[in-house]
Amino acid sequence: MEVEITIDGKKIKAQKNENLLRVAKKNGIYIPSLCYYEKISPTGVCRLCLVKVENMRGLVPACATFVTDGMKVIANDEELFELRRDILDMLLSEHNADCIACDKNGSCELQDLAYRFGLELKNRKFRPLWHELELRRDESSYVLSFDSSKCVKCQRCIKACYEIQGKGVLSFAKRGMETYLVAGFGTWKDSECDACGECVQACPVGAIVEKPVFERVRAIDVEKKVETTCPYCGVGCQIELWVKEGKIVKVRGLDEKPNNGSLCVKGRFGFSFVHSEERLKSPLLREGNQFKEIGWDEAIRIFVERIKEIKEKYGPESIAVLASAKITNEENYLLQKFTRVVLGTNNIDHCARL
Amino acid sequence: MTNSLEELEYADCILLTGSNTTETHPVTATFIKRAVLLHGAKLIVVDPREIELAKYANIYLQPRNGTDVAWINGMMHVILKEGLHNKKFIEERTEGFETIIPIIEKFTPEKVEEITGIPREKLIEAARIFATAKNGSIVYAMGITQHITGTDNVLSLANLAMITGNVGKEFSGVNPLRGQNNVQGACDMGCLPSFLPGYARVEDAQARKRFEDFYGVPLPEKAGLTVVEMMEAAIEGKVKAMYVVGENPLLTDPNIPHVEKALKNLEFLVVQDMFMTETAKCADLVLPSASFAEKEGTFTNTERRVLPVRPAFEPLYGSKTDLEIISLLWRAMGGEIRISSSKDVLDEINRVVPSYRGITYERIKSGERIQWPCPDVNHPGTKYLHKDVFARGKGKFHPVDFIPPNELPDEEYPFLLSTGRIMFHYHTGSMTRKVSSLELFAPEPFVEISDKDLKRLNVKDGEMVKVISRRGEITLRAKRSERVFEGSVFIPFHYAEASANILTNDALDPISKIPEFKVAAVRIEKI
Ligand code: SF4
Ligand code: SF4
Ligand code: SF4
Repeated sequence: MEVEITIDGKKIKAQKNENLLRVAKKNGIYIPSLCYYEKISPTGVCRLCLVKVENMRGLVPACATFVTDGMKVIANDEELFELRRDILDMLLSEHNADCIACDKNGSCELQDLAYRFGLELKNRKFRPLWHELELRRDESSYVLSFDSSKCVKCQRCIKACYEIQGKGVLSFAKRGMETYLVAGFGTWKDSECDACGECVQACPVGAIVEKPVFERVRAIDVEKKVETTCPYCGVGCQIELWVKEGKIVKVRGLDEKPNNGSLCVKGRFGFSFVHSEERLKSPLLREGNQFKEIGWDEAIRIFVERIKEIKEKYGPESIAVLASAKITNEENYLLQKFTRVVLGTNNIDHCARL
Repeated sequence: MTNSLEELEYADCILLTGSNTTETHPVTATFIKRAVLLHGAKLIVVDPREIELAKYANIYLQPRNGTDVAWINGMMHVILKEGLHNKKFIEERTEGFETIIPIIEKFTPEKVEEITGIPREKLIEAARIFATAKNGSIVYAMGITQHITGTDNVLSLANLAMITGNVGKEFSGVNPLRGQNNVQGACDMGCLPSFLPGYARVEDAQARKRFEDFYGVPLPEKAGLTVVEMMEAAIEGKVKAMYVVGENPLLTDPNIPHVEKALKNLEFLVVQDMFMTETAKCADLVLPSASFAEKEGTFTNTERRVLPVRPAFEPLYGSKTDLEIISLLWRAMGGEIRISSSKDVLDEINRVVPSYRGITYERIKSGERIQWPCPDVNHPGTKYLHKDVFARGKGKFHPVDFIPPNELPDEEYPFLLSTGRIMFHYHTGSMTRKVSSLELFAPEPFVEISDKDLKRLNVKDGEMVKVISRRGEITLRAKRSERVFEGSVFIPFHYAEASANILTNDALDPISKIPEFKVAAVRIEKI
């Protein structure tokens, strides 16, 4: 059912029971948030999205408020600005804002908020506390690193692991200021973690990051992003390859069908084979028990000579072709046409059955 | 798949069998887990191994390997007996229902328990859950097909879906998960010995004529050989030359010693790959091909969705894309070929494959990800199949009786071996085993053995053992596992250093020609 609400004096049409934060975002009204993440249920812990709603007592978190017809909302005024700034200021006092050396520099939601609210060091009210808290690092996963001094305790990773990945590996230990994230009962390595990286993709800051494949890399260093399809299994996850200096340095899941951003360990971390030194670097011709490197022209010539010879001597049925479940439709199409039209046989198959 | 992956999340009941989805199609498993955790779906898992998803299941049945027809018939027995079948659907949409009744009647829960080891109460409970769900989806993979009775297993599942009216609706259908990224596409494109592109039968003169007119040449009339038959023919000296593109039969085919003999017997073997695979090592000529990140084109996923492949950079290390190599060979063979890009090829596919007609280069380029059938450029694609009618009109019931696997454990080979994949590696490992982090997760081959059997063999968890079958033997580490039942073992097939397919049986399903990877008899020796 469609309803009409007012946010900061602007009339807006929305669906009944849509969440207020989403409606505002969709309509270009800025409400800051940190723990809110489209793909999981609203948490309402960061308190940045607090707003005033007519006939509701106190301030309410927009992310956990459903719109109803005629709702009147104040999303931005001076009082809210000050309040949000103080909340952020406090968060920053617990945060190891070593942006210079952080993977998330330039793509960090906390950094963006601090910048927007003018929270440079000289403007802060709260003194830094983060180094007084116990530092917990978990480097035990083969693909992820965790640093508690960067964590803003938004729970996005915890919920992403449960609500998206269906696992529930992550949780908080201790309470209050001392709260920290744990995987399983202690370390990532001994947990039931699938290494899918959903938590990395959900983390708004640099608390959970990927281990580098070649060298460290930040989003802002990436020269090219290429949307393509994971080459591994039949799910066909949509991915974005991040390319720097001609190498794939990172992979993100794309918010498209079929995977809606999710990936598995292979799709997210399994790409260095593309740059492997073991790749074949030239056509090879057998000479006894050895291979000799030859040029492409010679390779093509030898293929044609030998195949023609065999075809003439034994007939087209003496030739067989194995196509591939790994190459593209276009390549497979062309290969079957080549087999049938040029080689003259239906002896073509691939390992669908295997 | 007849349905879309996203529909799995909203099915009321999922019957998952013969698919260790968490390891083989990890992201698909998340749809199933969310269905259970967030949307209250009922999950029934039937698998000889106690896979991870069994933990999410409302009910888990553990049949002996290769006894699928028995428990499926048993479920139908219960459904019929309790009158839970969908009479309206059976009457309106299907035919031949009466033909299955005599067979189903034989499969009482008691008899099924005898054959499969599934306790009768559990079978009855599972049957009731599935039959009473509003939308029931059946999901299966190689654990169902890789048997000599693979075709029978699939037909039985289709019977079960039809008897409960779970076909041709959103959220319910029969959904095989395709293993490799583009198996679906390779089949659609006619890389099959008896089918031209779009599943036109080679031996159907009319279908062939359509292609002959289009290609402007006569085409061979006789269906060709399947992979396993090609190997046989090579040993017999009938096949003399083989051109292998991006496959590694020396690791993936059953009965490797046999395959090796076949390849060695060829006069000319050409292998086109990114790496020096086990098969490439036997080649006379090796052609280096580019990776997926260096080419343009499309893959078709398990739910028939045609997805874009886009290059991140030019082919590395002097390799060429498979498209370019095939074009070069074609020209050099003296053929005329008017194709220079993947776009040209897709244009042609649009013209000859009816279900791809509307899946044009322009639409893919603009970001559409369309599911076939898509008969024209304005068609949005097809989310689920068989909506109002089956492809062949009425859905046909096929009576299927139980046949035991080809090779069962005996005194000499007392263990039942099944093979499969693990999450961290992919197929032959030619790609994943070169990724150092993935190697850290799963660096070496292992054989899963139950605790009781380990004790009986006097082998410790982590000790090296020899696994021997009638075909050959391999040496690898024993791993204690709660997933396999007593008397059965499991080996992943990604590892060349202890290739599971040295052991597997190459007995074939007579129709699908799929080998029986999931059941072989082996012996285990302590070293
Ligand atoms: S990598 Fe995936 S499974 Fe592991 S903790 Fe993160 S979300 Fe959970
Ligand atoms: S690790 Fe990241 S996502 Fe998780 S609670 Fe901390 S800041 Fe939030
Ligand atoms: S990311 Fe994982 S689940 Fe997705 S296509 Fe790749 S291998 Fe399959």
